[in-house]
Amino acid sequence: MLKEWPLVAFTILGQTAAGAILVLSAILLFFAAPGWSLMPARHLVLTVLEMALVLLGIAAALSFFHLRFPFRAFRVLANLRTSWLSREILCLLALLALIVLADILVRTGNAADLSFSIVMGALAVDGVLFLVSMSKIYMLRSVPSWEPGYTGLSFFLTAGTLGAMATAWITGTPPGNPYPLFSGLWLLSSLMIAVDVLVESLETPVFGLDRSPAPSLRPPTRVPRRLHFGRLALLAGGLILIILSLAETAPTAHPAAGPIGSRPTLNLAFVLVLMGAVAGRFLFYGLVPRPGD
Amino acid sequence: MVTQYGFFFDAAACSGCKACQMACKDRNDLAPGLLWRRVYEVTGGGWEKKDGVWVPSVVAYNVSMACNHCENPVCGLACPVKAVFKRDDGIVLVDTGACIGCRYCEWACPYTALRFDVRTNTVSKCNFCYDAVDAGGTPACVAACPQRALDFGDLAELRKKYGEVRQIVPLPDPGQTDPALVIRPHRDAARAAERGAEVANWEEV
Repeated sequence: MLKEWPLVAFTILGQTAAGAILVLSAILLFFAAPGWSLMPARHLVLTVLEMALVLLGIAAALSFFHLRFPFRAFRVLANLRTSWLSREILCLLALLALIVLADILVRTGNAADLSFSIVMGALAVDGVLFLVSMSKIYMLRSVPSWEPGYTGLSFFLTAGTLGAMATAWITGTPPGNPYPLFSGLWLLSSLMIAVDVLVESLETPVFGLDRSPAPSLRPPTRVPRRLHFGRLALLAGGLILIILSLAETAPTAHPAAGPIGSRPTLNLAFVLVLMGAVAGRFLFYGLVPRPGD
Repeated sequence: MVTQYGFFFDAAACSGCKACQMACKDRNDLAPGLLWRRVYEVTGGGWEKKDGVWVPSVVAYNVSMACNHCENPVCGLACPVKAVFKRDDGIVLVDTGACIGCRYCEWACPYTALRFDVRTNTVSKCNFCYDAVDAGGTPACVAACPQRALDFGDLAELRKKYGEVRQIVPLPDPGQTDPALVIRPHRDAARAAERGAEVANWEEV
């Protein structure tokens, strides 16, 4: 189970970045007031784009170096016709390229142009495709423990939760932010965590830990049950901290305002939810041990 | 010309001696811990009350399993670099010179036929002893079986000779990959599922 740490890191980082891109695209494309200028929030947009770029860059490096023969990977797009792994890498490369393009457009003052909207739309579509292909990789008939519907839902929930939290956390939603929607991201993430906890509580015992995937030639699962309950506890703890933080703030103030480091409760909530996601991903890979290992 | 080679396995005849497993290791010089053919010991049942009398309801048999050189090899479909390919005669091979070692095919194969080889740092699997077969010979596992529980040949011929069965407990649904496999089931196999039979030797396989 622990041997799969590069894949755990790749999926968590990739989903966080894709989630952040989807959140940013949604804000810019669907929720911006007509005629609103991007310029006051330019630094926020750049911050989110560059955070996603760094996260995806680390994810790409991890996926590259976890290969036993990384320098043969130039052929990794050779099987786009049937391999979801090839398609996932294509989507990842396209995401990296589109983020760089969007970053250039914002920095060169072309963010108000139609081209920027097109690039952000393409980023959103590619972000969804990236998450779909990442899910489809694991939605295998040969592995009943990775139940198809649950795997996809779980990946999208992780992307939404961590993407919204990372965006809210890194932008700091300062007072006077012309995009008040950035401030609502903590609320959005808390809703997603609540759904995640609910789904995990109901579904994991059915599809994972307590289900015998017979008939099968796969060895039985040896993943510790405490990982499942630990994950739920971490997510619930993060959720409670976010709710407390939102509830304690005066309605007129931005609850998450201020630079990183000045918001200890929300910082701790982010860490707890991230740890919960990592524990959940180790649980996911632990459900399907590799025979012979 | 053969268009699809396949294996036949007679579960009723297999004694579980593992000569096939060892012959494969020997012929292919496999590293310790690496098995291209494996013998699963399937056991289940216990005691049941019949007409007021307790009688044994034990099921026990062996399943010798390697790569089934499937007609629809999902390992090859999943491989991002097309390192797993199918020959014209149906034999599925791994090109270790192209394999990047991502190990995704290990998950894709429901028969867990693909195994990681620490010596080559690539996945590896049964190659049907294709060099011997091409020269008119026999796969090592088939040649080694003292019970004649294994056979090989053209899948269509095997089906004519031995029937159409290709699944017994604990093998997965053959609809996933269309394995080039014909099985003569052990008499206990029909009751294996209802008696909760499971593989008993996971440490070995």
